Amino acid sequence: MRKTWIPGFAILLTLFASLAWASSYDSVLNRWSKTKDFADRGDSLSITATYYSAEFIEATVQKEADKNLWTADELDRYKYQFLKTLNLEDSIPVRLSFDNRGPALHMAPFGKQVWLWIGGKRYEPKDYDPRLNFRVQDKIEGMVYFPRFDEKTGRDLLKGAKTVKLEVSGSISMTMKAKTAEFVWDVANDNPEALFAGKAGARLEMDRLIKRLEKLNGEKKDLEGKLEQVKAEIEKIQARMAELQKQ
Amino acid sequence: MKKIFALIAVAALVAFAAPAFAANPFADVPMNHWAYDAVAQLAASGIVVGYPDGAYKGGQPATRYELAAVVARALAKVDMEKASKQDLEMLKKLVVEFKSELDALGVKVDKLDARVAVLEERIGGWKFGGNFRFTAKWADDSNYWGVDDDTNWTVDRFRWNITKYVDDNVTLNVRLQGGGGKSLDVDRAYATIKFPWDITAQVGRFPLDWEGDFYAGDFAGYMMNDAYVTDYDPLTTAVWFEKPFSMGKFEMFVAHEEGGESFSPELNWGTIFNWVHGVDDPEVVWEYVPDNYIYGARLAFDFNENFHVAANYVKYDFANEWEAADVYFDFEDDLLVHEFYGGDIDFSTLWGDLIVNFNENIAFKGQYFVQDLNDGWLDEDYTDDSPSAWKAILQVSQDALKFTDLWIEYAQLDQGFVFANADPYAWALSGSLFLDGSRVSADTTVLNVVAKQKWNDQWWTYVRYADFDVDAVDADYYNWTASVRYNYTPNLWFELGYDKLGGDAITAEGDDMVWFRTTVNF
Repeated sequence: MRKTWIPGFAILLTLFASLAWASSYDSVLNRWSKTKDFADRGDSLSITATYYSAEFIEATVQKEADKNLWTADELDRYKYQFLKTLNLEDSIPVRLSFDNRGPALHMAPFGKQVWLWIGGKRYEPKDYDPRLNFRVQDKIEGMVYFPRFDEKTGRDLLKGAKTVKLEVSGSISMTMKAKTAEFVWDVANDNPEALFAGKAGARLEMDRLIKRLEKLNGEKKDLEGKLEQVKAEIEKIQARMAELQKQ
Repeated sequence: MKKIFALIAVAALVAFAAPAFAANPFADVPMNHWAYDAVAQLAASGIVVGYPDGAYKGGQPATRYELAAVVARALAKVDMEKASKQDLEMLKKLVVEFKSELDALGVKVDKLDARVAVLEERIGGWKFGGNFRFTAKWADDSNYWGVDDDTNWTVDRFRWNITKYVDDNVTLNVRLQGGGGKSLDVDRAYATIKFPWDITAQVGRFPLDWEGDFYAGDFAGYMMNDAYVTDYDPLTTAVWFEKPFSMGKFEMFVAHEEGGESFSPELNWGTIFNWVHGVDDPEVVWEYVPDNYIYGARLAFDFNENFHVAANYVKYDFANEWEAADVYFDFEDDLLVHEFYGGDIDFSTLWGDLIVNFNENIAFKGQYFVQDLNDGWLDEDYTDDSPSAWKAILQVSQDALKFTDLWIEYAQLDQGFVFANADPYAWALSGSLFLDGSRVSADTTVLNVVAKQKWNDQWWTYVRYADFDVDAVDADYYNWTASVRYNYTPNLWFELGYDKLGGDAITAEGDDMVWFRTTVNF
């Protein structure tokens, strides 16, 4: 290929030399954010999906803490709020960003356009940002929450899963040429349970326990009400029986 | 003078106040969330003034309810101060984001309910979109770019996309496309149908591209190299099935194309007049292409997030033999002569894909193709009935280099390799110089390097160099392209580009071209 290789190799060398720039947090954050680009002779669409792994969440929290020079307490408060927002206790959160430079996107109903594959089964989202249903002509991003536990058995879906795959339907835009966007993450070494250790985890557990207590107290109240009704009924019947015996 | 001091004082306040707010972690809304930036921006423009108690709280996190209260205060203030359209748009987005919290706080938001109603109405309704493109080209008259009389201005595209979400199982897509003075045609029209067991089918005229990860383009795919086999747009009258599974998918399709007869150049009275009067001796090629089926199958598998493989197969199966004839007038014998030839032109392509992601920003990609050609493709110049091709690509994202994306592609093509669907390197010229019809005329190597950079949301540039090393006399050539794109809005951009050709095969004067495009999306 004659002299044309020389600039090629020069570019390659420059490239690898410059890769050392990335900070440690950025490399972790980038690892869980994947982008797929679609182009259709004049139209283009970029879809970025971010999987909220334990590693990603820890890196996000630590980056914020470093940036803002937080104390341990402030970091714990931030982490607590962050985890609470993500609904990690019963959801698998994924953030989706769309950068559209083509005809308008129409993704409604969005809940029917994305799926998460875990262990050979495909799951639809249990909740998502309603703005993803809007017509989109530029950029939009929103959270999508997939179920974390099997509806029937209550089993943790991520337990034993080596990889998860997110799919976005090619029907949302003709720019995708009817091709599904696929994002694969290796999650075998991810440990979401570790997030719930420490003060933030203790607060979240306390929140859960408070909710559970409220629910149990409500049930107790209901049952006590029913017991009172039954007691009243029994007394009424006994009184009537006594009346009948007297006749 | 006092005014100047006052302005300096305000500027100083803003300078200190903005970082204080920016450092404020709305804990429910992470720093990388759009709402964080939106609120910070509103704060900078003075619409949002802080927490409900009016004080910034340093590093203390806020709940969504606190943030919703801030938005509610901003809403009240907006009416009084008449914020800019941009701020109002931002507020509208925030209102939707915190709708449930605002509802719970009893905040009435005008038009919010109407907006939600529109949203509900759109679910299941007809949806429209599309774009418009104007292109101007300037090149020397004798040129390789199809530019006549130095200049060519045209509205070369108008697309109108129509989508109907029929129900949970059926979606209908139609694309009407026109341009260059032509009327709108039905470019694509297909139904996507979901069946049990996660099987999806498409029927109609639809695009199909199994090689989208293996060719580079500019930002919008205007001037792209293309797939070697697929990227049908559309695949006419076809049926396609897909069965995905946890780490891969199986796909197959069957398409049917109608054949027919044609003359090239078109046989008309002018040609006959010239024949009869012996003005010149135009040769006309008559061709009969029979009906054909195209069959395709693909199995793709991801071993993990870094290792992807796929095996693909496409076969063209013609109902009859292809026939052609060179037609000319023999003045010596006063005869119209037909020299017939033809043959069985069935052929198939088998190829494998490999993608290895070294990390999130660097990937190696490779493809290897081998074809099986029937007799109709062979003659004294083309003797190989199983030509092959391969390409290797190194792709690096802008995140890694911090200044540009990089695509470095090296490919080798055997003589006789057939590009049945499209000329994959046509962007460099109106048609690749190493092709003889749809066949590679001589062993060819291709080096294609593309560097794309997004400087910011407005300014994008790319540079491309492609070199074609053809194993024939004076057949090498190369192409340089440089382009600057300005995104005036996300839906309107202007692009100015320059193309330059060079090499032994480039003999005409018009070896460079300047082009300007305007694109509007809706």
